[in-house]
Amino acid sequence: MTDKRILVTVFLLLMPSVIQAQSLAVTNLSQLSFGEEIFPGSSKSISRTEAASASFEVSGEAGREVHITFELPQELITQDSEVMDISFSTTNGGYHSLQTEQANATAFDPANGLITTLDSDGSLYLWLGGTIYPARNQAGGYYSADITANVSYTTN
Amino acid sequence: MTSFSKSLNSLLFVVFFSFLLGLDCYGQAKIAPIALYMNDNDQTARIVVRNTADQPVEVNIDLLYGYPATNSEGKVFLKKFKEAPAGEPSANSWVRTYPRHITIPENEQQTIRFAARPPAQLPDGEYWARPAVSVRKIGKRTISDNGNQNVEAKLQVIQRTILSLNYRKGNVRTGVEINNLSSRYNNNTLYVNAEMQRKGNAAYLGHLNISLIDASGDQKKHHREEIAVYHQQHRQFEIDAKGLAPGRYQVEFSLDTRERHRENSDILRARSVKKTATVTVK
Repeated sequence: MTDKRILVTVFLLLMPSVIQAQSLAVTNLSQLSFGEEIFPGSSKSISRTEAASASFEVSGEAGREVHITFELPQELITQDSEVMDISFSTTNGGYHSLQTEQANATAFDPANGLITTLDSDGSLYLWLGGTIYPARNQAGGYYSADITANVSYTTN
Repeated sequence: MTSFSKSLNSLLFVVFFSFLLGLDCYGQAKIAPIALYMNDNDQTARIVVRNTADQPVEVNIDLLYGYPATNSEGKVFLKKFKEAPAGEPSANSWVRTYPRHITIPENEQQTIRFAARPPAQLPDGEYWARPAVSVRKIGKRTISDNGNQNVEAKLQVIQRTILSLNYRKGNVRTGVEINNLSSRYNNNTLYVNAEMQRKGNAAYLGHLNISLIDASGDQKKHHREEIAVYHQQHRQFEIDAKGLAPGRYQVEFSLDTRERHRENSDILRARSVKKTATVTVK
């Protein structure tokens, strides 16, 4: 094998860790869904430990500190511009290094965001719940809104 | 072409090809690299956004301004501004993004370029911007056939990854000064507080080390992390000190750029600094 081929082979072996080190991503694994059983005049809450909560995976370089913030909506809206209020409590956010530990996730306030360190696999899992407030005369329809999840390393 | 250049080209090709193949793919979009460095001799930079979702994504790139700062608990967070405050070394007004809005089909990728056109009379120094890459899935919204009688509610998540962009003009230098180092021990935890003030005209990007040394000179605890001081930081570190024998210890607090510069020549070198404090474990 020539020197050049050896070099390229070494690069190929190292490349997954190089790519991993250079990137940062948030995956939305599931959406926060309040479902169809929503009754006018009755608020409905989804906690961070429920399956219907939103879940995210943050992937990046192992051991690096990340800062995650959320831009949270105050209302949901239909295509016909009907609106419904939504709120997020100080314990509606949860995080853990293991995806299987949703029930044991550490609580955080989604309005304040989160500063934490990625684990040895470079992973972090987040869950987000919330509460909606349908009015007594809430019009039927599909209500939706966007949540923006900002993620950055705290160093270059 | 020299042997070194050929090797470098091979590396770049493999990096790019690996990215195309999607090794270790995560997220609805994968963005790399996350730190961009530009200067007078190389006024362009690029990132690649790869859609790893199973549907098209809409991508928007905005330039924010920001830098790592510390909160009241001594933790680092990214302080963001839509517009840079007066006096800040912002590159936002003269860095252009091409394109700023795109749609990427599933399993495809797009290169985004950044071009700097700094004003002619710009003083020497480092100028900062924070490209924010927002990715939103398109379509596939399932609306149940409820005859519009029922209420159904869902939230969709927009992923926004915030990168760093540092542009260096002319003579740039960096350094850091450690002030007000103090340490205390409480309930099996060592608390170390320090202020770090950046020197020079560029961000200090290095490593921070905290060592706990006993009376015989043995290192009993060590903490190391990457650090970026853009202006100043007031940090508090909490170090697990379970199992430490009672007694008096020296806390060594040091910063250096050696390893990061060795790994990436874009990291500016600076003189290492160290300060010490003492703490008593009861």
